[in-house]
Amino acid sequence: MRRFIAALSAAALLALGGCTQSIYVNYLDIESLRVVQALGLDAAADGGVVLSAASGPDASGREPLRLTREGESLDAAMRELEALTGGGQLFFAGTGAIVLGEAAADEAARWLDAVTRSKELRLDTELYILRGGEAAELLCGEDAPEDVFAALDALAQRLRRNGPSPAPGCADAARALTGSGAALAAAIELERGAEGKLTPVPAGFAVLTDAGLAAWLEDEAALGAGLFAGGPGAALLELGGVTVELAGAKAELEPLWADGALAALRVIVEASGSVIGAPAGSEPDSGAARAELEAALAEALRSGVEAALEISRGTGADFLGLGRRLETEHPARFAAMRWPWAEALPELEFEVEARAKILNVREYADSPFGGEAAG
Amino acid sequence: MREPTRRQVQALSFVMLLSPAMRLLPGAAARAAGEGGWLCPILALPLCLGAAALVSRALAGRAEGEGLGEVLVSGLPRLGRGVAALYALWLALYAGFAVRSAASRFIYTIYTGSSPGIFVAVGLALGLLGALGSEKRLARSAEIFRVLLIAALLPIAVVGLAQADLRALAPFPLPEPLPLAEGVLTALGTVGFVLVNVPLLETGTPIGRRGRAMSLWSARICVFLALLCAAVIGRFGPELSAALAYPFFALVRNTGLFGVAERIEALVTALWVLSDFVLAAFSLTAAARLARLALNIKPRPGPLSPRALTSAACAALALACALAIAPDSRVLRFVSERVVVWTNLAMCALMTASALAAARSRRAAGGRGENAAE
Repeated sequence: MRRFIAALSAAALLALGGCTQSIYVNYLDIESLRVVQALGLDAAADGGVVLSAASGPDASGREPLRLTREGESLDAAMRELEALTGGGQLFFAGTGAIVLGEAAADEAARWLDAVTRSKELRLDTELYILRGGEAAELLCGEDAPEDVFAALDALAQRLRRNGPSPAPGCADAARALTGSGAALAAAIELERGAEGKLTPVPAGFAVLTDAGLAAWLEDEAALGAGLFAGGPGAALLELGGVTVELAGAKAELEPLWADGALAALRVIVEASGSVIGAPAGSEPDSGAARAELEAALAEALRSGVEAALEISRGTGADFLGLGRRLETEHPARFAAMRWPWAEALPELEFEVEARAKILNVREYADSPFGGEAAG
Repeated sequence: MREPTRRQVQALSFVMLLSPAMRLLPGAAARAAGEGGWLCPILALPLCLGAAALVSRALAGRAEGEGLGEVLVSGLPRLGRGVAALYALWLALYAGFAVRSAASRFIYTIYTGSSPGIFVAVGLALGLLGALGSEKRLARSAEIFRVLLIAALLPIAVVGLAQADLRALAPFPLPEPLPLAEGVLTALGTVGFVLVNVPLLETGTPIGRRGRAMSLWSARICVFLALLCAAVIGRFGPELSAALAYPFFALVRNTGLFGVAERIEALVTALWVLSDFVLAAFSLTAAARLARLALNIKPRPGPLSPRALTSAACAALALACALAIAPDSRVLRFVSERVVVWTNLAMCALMTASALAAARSRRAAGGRGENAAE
């Protein structure tokens, strides 16, 4: 009996048609796949989305794919793009970067929601906001880089290396937006690079809120915000001819309470850095010079944090996650606050203190070369 | 030896725990305690230790070949049969819910737009096959499955924790007591289901030092579950984790392994079938065993043995439950997060209390009751 059942079961396997005809509907012929590496989203006039897709160079010699199509929703636009691929099949699941044009960034919450729900896209994707431009220009324009994703990936590495902080991804933005109502995303701009092609370059941060794109953070404000966004990369600062590389920094919050209200918020920044460049003949490690340098570094960070806080207060967008941090560090007082955090933030007084330490001076403390500084 | 060893019992416990734990815990913990949700399994640990100790106490006087069901029916012949019948019905329905829930996960993660029917049918057919075999075979399968599941889980936990914003996990605002209690009870119910129900088939392992072994197992499991909750909540934040249908599988979906492997959710979801299979097979096996005890059906060999018939009847009940329980994902979520969680806790409490009373009655009677093991 058992042998009979076993033989019958084995015979039943013959009826299975293999992947293509079975319930395994996700079967994809790898030869026909066009792997999308970067997606661009721009706002369409009728409230829809203009979706651009770019694939990378293909090992089989196929030209990179560049497609743009409009749709009512992200999903509809993806299906529209698929219709344009001809013989191949678009594979969105390999998307590594999403670029929002400036107008589309005004609806960042809508797109993050769509990515979270998408059965093909992932939150584990880099996110960039293109300042003053349309994503289609970067992905599908005449002067678009040959490998868009490679250009964006190189940019991400530069951000990680040079600061102001590693680029937050879709998951980071979604987490901040759902938690604090505001999020930071890496801002980029387009410049002419090698062979006259457009190249994405870092442009600080974009502040995304549920209500839309709230602000741009540039230069010192971006540096200040970077301290709250997972710490700066090895940011390089030019301080009066001396190049200092940030080795680490942290920002602590010290709330000042008065009568159940948050009277002010003191932000204490502590940073360390290394001198990696100084004028020939200079002695950056000498007592006075070192103290001066540490003071200059502290001042640069203080003014950066102050600028970021000022924008947060001005826009009412808590993109630095201050409310969440206060709530976790001082839960009872936060809960008993006279006004809700969203109302308290625009009225809040900030005091910023910064301390910096130079940990080392690269190669030698005092330059053996003669130069202007030596005199 | 025809009965599962303790090592096999623990493997069985681990494998069948994974499916409900990963479905329920990260989301429930995030809803219960926000950033501090990862503490829920830790806070549930003392309760789990208590449950393990109580069950071990109930099993203390059992004879070779007896499980918790036999203790129950022999100690409290009339009431015990009633509890056994009710519990058999619950486990059969639970098997149906488990396969329906697994079908929903498949549809969510891979086969979007599919109907759950085919997954339910295949799941129950496999579960029935498992239930028709010996408990030893099921437990040995679980030993193999455990290795595969740990191999899939460990990298996800490590990478998930590496990508999580750990600063957001501690310190955290003090959670409200009631939601926190709900999160802790959800964790207790998840682990408790295993602690209370696996002894229904635990007929062979020696009782000596069982309490200590199961306490250690509970501690390891609670820490492990806390780590996974931390990975999910740290990655997506409490608000998003609480809103996602399957936060753990969202984590899997959004996890790449060091740039070497991407889109591993299909592989992980496929491996989770092993947990679904063991859970369904176990629930059917235990339900059928309890039904036979409740109806005082004696074992009889042959193709249409009482074991085969009761297992098939339980599978039919499970199928009816799976097909009727949730017409859409909204209802399924309600059933999963509310109905099943609380019913499970109530049934576990009922079984533990009844088994303890039965064990005391047996001790008072100075021996075993009229029902020996099959």
